[in-house]
Amino acid sequence: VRPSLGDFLAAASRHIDAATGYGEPLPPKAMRAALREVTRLLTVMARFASAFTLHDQAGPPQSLEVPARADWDARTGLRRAAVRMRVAASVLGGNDDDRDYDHPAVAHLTAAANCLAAGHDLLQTHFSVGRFGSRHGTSPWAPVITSAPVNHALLADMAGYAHRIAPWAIQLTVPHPHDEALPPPARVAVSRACQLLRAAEAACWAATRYQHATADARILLRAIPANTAPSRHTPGPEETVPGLCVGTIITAERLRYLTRAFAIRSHQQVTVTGATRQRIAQGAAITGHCSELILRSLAEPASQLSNVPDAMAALARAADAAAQAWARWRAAAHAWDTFATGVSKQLTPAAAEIGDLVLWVGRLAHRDPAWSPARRHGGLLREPAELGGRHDTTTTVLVALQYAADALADIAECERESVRSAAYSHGLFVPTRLLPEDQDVPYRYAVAPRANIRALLDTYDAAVQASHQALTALDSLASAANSSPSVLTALRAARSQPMPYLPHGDTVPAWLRARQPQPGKVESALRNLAISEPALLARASDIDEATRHLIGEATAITQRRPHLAELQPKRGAGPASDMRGHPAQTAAKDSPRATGQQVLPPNAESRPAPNAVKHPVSPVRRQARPT
Amino acid sequence: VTGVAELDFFAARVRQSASLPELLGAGSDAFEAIRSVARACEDRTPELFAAFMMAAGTATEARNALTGAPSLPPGHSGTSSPGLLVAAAADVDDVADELADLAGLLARRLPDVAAEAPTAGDRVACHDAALAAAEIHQLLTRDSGETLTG
Repeated sequence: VRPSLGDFLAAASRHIDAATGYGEPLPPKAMRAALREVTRLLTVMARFASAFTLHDQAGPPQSLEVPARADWDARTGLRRAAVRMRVAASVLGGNDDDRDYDHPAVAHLTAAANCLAAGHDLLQTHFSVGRFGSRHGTSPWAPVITSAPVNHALLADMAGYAHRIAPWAIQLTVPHPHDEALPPPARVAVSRACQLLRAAEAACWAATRYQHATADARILLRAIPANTAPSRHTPGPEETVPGLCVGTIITAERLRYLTRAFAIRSHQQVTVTGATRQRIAQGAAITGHCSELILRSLAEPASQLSNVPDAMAALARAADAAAQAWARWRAAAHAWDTFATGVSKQLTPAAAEIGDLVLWVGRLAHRDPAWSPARRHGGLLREPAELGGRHDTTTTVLVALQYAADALADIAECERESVRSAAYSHGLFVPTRLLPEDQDVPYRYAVAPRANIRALLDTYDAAVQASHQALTALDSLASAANSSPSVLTALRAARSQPMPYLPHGDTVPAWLRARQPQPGKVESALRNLAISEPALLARASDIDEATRHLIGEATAITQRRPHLAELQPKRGAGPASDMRGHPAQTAAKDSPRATGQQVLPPNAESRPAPNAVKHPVSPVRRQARPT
Repeated sequence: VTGVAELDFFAARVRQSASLPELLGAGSDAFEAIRSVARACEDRTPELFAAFMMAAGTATEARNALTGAPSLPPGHSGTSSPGLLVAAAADVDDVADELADLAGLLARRLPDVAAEAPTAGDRVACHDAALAAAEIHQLLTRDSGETLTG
């Protein structure tokens, strides 16, 4: 199971409670160590609270709305408190010999800071870091992390820690008899830091009063996982219904991660085979088929849902939508019977593992604990009472089906884009042995006819649409059967926002920010087209980077040619002086003069040289750009 | 027409193939027949939906593997094969048995030929197709203990 942010926040909270609950006064050496660790803790808190905000951190937000302004005040308060605490720590100097880091209270402060630093790093995994610290989201959780409610929930957690740390830290400023633990300047700085912590807490409290749906945001915040694939999980021989549901959820999340990760990397000259696409489509179809069987089973009288009229209607709609979805996926699988993409046999990670999802959902639907798609296992369905006999079991089953449907909808979108890309790059073929006898092509494969490609793309469009409809129907069913929304429902609502782009890193100094280069031309063009898809932006960035390398290499080659300088005309030597050094002109000097043609640089179309021989230039040649 | 009797034609071609190109062609056509019949049976019974669906996909992979074999002449096969129609009244269990038998035959014949194939490309194609045939057999056979060796 992947670690989630909630694990780290809970651990940090426990350590802060333990540290601040330490009843006895700290000995001098422990007090100095505690000051050092509180400083580190506040620094991590301030960084954590500010790292994933969309607006510029350098000044207050333009909007004067109370929540945004109060959030900004709270973040600023945390930052300033950390600065004051650093001042206090610097007064003590850097000598570690007179500090006791092994004291229990100090150890808990250290552990709390470590937990929060790990939590910050966990959130950072959802962003890709560019040069100079810019970041853009790379996972479906990234828009959630930068959304105002979740950001505020994170800030509220930090303010909660501040609420506990401030009254404890102020005790460090109380002078003890015969004790020189903290010099007066340090005490003043600590006192000021505690005031700022209180102010931050108050500002956050004010913002909370104006925020809506904070409970959902807190649930989402704690559920944010590390952006890594969950470990592969295959069903054992004797799984219980709840165990099968958990396995379904983990496997669905893993498949979604693998698909997204591959889509981001897929522009690196990876050929996705027809076998890959067919396995994914047939895996999705069988999973959808089993989902429909489960939903129909839940409609039996033995099910708890049979007592909820709204749920029964929603159940029927969900089952019908699931049937539509798996039929579309099956059509996609059928389509790949006659298409091929290349001779590679390599499967994508998602294609290699989609069989796991088939097994999890299949065993949830069937009575045989060793069920598989094989004929000898295609037996009896599970008793309705096993799936819907208890309300909590029914809810768990529905959540599992939601996760599976959500992953398949996500996979459908990625697959559609990938197939489109293959179609536009002429990467779809048909085996010639399958062509009619009157089309005897002397090759093994022929380029796929355009009409077939269009039909294939239509098939994927239909699969995407039906998958989303199935998911929507399951959402309605889940809300009818259970009043509390699942994390998945809240996540989907939050991630309707575009993929975030954070222009600055949270630790990048201001002078470096000013030097941050703008995105390249291709990336800028995509951003102007409102493209925020990480895969496309990463691809554009790679193209820009490759272009820079190519031009750099070409420039280096040019500079290694000493004779080139001699060939170039001197500045102001004639009307064509603005063409000096242009490769086209260099090439023209080596051309036979008898042709009487002068090659014009691209920018000279509207102002030909006066002594140039006039020849009609075709539009095609005029558009040609030497590279 | 049940679609079962016609499968005998493909089985006979596989058995009677004397040369590597013949077997590659017969194998490719046999896998295409398995694919076609399995697709036609997917909707017949919910219990066998997954088995037929996966069998058809695996048959497609096997057919494409043989299509890439260097010794298989490119272009259309030129062999006239009967149309494969599965009648509505056909017993799906019988069809599955017949497909499993044909896949079992392919799984036994292809490795023999693969061992004597002159090029690595042919050996790999036959090997991959044989594995796929064994998988189809496992998907569609009634008996879980049956082995394909010998």
